[in-house]
Amino acid sequence: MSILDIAAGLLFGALAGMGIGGGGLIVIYLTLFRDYSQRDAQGANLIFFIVAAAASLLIHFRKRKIKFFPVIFLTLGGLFGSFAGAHVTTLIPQEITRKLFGIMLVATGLITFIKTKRVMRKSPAIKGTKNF
Amino acid sequence: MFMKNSFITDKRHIPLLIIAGIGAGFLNGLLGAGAGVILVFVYAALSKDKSDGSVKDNFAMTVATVIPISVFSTVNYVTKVGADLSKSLVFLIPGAVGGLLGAWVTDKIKTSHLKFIFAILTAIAGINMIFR
Repeated sequence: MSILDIAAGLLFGALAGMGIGGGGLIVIYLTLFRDYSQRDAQGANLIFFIVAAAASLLIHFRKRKIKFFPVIFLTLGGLFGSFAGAHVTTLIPQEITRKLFGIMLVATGLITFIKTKRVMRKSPAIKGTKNF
Repeated sequence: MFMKNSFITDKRHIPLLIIAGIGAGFLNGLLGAGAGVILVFVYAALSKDKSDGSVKDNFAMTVATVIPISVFSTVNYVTKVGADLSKSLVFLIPGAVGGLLGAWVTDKIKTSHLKFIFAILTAIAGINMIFR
């Protein structure tokens, strides 16, 4: 484990906890800089996200209002979908999975870009907070 | 507990919630990421309150939904997909620490500019993955 790995873990964990970007950051790091296969990197992203998000949820649960009704049914559907998705990923070459992952990243980037631009136009920095 | 004025939670929405969950879970199982992108939209659509606090509540619920789906996806990745997660364990402690820090600072800073930069970098990384 290098210092870079620790720094990457801290940074990506913090971004996941802040809601800036959970999905895929570790995959980008592991495939581009650590030579992981696409499947190993995707698996790493899952387990990394569970730990980072569970840690952040300890704080979010205390501060935020959670409505359990939609959480339960979305999770229920999600479990079925996850099973199907994991099955499909075994049927297609990793080359294709990587391209699909790239498409998802571009889509996520564009959506975040547009949404953030809209929010920034509507609400300038809130008094008493620093805008990063 | 389930019926709150600020949130559209009706039994009639159960099939839609399950279908949306399947879509999010499928992406999570296929690519090891991406469920949050869909779920954040679902929670935003269900929420009548569009304030900053509500957006953060929606994010917390998104995380609460993605965690169990990701746990299930991880099990599938190990048992069905054959991903090797042993190399990734080194990222878990820094990830947990980062997750806690990220959740802690969320209320103290406005993250628009950070999101903006993240969106551009994500899209660039995505293009790199598509054409690599």
